[in-house]
Amino acid sequence: MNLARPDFIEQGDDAWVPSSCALCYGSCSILAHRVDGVVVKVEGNPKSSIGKGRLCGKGASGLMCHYDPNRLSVPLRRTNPRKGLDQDPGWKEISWEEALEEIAAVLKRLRADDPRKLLIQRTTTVTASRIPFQTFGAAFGTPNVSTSGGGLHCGNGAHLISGIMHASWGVVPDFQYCNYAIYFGASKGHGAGHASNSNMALAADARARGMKMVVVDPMCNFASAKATEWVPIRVGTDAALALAMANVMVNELGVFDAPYLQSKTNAPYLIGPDGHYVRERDSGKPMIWDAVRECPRPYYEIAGADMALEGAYKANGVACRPAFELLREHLKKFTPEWSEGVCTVPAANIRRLAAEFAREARIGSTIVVEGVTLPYRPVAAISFRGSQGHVNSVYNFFAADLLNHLVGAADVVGSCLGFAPASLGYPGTGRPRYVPSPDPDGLMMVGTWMGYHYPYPPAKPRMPQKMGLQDLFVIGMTSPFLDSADREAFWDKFELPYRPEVLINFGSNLLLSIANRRTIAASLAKYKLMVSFDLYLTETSSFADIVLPDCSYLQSWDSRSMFPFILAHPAGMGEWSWPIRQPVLPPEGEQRRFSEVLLELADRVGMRADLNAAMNASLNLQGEYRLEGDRSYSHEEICDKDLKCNFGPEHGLAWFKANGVLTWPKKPEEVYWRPFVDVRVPVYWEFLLSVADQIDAITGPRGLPVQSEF
Amino acid sequence: MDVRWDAVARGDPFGINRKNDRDGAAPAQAGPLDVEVWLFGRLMAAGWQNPLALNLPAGNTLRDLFRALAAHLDPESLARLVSPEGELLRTCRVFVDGLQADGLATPVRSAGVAARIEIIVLTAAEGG
Repeated sequence: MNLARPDFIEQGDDAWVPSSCALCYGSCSILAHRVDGVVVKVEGNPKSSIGKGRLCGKGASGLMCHYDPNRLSVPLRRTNPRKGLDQDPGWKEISWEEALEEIAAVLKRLRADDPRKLLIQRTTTVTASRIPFQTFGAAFGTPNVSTSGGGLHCGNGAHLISGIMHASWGVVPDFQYCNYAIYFGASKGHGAGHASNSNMALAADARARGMKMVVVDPMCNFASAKATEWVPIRVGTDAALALAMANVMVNELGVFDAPYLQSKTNAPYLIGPDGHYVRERDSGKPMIWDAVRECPRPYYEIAGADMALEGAYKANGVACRPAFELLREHLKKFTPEWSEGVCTVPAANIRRLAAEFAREARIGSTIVVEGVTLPYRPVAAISFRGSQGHVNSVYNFFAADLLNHLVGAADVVGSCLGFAPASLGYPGTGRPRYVPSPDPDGLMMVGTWMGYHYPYPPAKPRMPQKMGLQDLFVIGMTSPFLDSADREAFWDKFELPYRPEVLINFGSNLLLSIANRRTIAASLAKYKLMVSFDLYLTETSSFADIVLPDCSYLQSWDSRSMFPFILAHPAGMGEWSWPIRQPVLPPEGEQRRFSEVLLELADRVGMRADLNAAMNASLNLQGEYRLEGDRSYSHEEICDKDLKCNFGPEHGLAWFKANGVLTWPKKPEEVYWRPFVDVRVPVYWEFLLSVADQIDAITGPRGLPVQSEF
Repeated sequence: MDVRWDAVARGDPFGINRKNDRDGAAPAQAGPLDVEVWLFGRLMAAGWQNPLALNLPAGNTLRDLFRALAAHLDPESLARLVSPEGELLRTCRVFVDGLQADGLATPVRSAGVAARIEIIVLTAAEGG
């Protein structure tokens, strides 16, 4: 038990310290009650919109994590060279000097040899570990940085589609205004998930207000139990239901939001017989059919109202039809009767659900929010883990989200919202400011993202340089190849020009979280050096050569404990909140904060200038707050610069230590950004054809033809 | 009811629907221009010495700079910066005198001292 009395704890100590939880990526704002140097309680911080003063059971029990009797307090080195599930590492305590000197020597050699031989993987739990580890990887020069570790990913389809269609990591109903939400394997507001504590109250208020909630789920789980209607479904067949609903809406009821489809999607883009856009010869821009002048035009030249959504035309000498015409025809085969045979939901219920969703969408209506007139579409189709944790993850998620886009219920009042995809920034500084923007085809690119593997546009596939082969299989947001049994065969097949030698692990426990533990064990055992930052020894750290005793979230600094906002900042109207994490207690024994250890390693490896440059780029530090040359800054100094750069010199670390969180009101134009931003989203995935061809051009000759639908 | 979706919103609060500020900035500097280029991280290929001093005889945007830089970088490194279509990759961050560049149309200027260009490629992490 940590009974140390830090310098900043005085006699008769009794303090509530504002900070941030780190028991999950939600990173809710907390108040930690410390009495005489011991934290006795953790509560939600009501001054912050991140949690809105609430804390889940896991967060409330964070004390057990911090005061775990098995906490590490000194660096360890294994003495048994053999690694395996049944091997005792034979831990021996060593000094930090020994540990860092040994690690730095290996990293220095590796960086000179081939920096790609380093893999960094980190747990998602501590969101704020993203910048320190990604910047360390960028400075070192390795392309191999993994969140969670090989193959583990909760939302492959969810994050990709949410990014492409909503510029966000996930989606949630606009609880304050939504009247009809249908959940496909999701729990937003009813269990775990992004902004869970905030969403709990919002969802409860929405249900009390009368929002109808339909939960499609194989289990009558926590969300289903609170729903107006539970729709049991065969596991993994959500797309069959969603597509049948879309078919009923478009082809049986004739209900769709034509103005939305014309102005905010690629539905009017002309598609040629090869499945690709028909492009203007000179500009290369996708063309639409001008229904007024009866001629093809580049998409940006005329108003959406004049764009044809249906019909057959000729442009550039080829027969073509608007994407929406193809979509509408494609949907016809997904009849409710067909769907019933696949997903088990009775056809009559499918028709009823589709009719309810279409009716409640109130297509064509508007509402005034804080003086701003906005489209009003109080329906939302929400997916997450359940519907997309299967084969066809992307297609399941996309089919459900298509319901939103058919009725224009995307990032407007009452609809399906991304988590804060656009921000005008703190009024005093205009930072952080981000907003989606169009690519050359007019399709939406995210304004900010969790990392640098952006959902759209996809990179051009190439012979892989990354262990996970993501630069070849460019659509997926994760990869199974870091630790798969056949990874060596794939690396051979695609001529990966190196093999990994060193693994830096931060808190990930792959042996516990990935199903095939023997495969993971075999993979981990192959590293020549594995270093693991951990709070306590785990199944995975038993494969490490050196274990470094980390500080808990109650002992750590972070200037951006919950950023980017697209991960888990509550959506809808209300307040922006920027909380920090600060130490409530000092390190015990020889525990050290990982963020400070990485800075010292950078110095020892001789790459501090690179790390400073990576920090400047990742944090977008400007002017006097930029990190200079190879100067050695402490993590606290960097946090102070980050905060002052974003919120002005009066809002540095000292201000945040006292106040914990900075808040300012959201504007309707930020929350309901889509009407104000000239971007379109793809209801027709033309770009997938090129990606499939490009991948197949590499994999086909090497004996691995790739089916275009994958 | 039945209000067109694209007829509701007024204004351009994000300033994205018009050309960005850099495009509307004063014309880029014409004529010879001194720059010093600093590469970081994986771009620090063998033989590269930070900084590289370049004189752009008639160049005045990042696009001109990258054309000149191509003679000093191997194709693999260059491919990490610029797409096959010739646009700056989103993983590549370029700072011109401390300000992050929006794209290759960003003007480069010098006033007495060489413009300082810093380039780093951020790692595209997977999973999460």
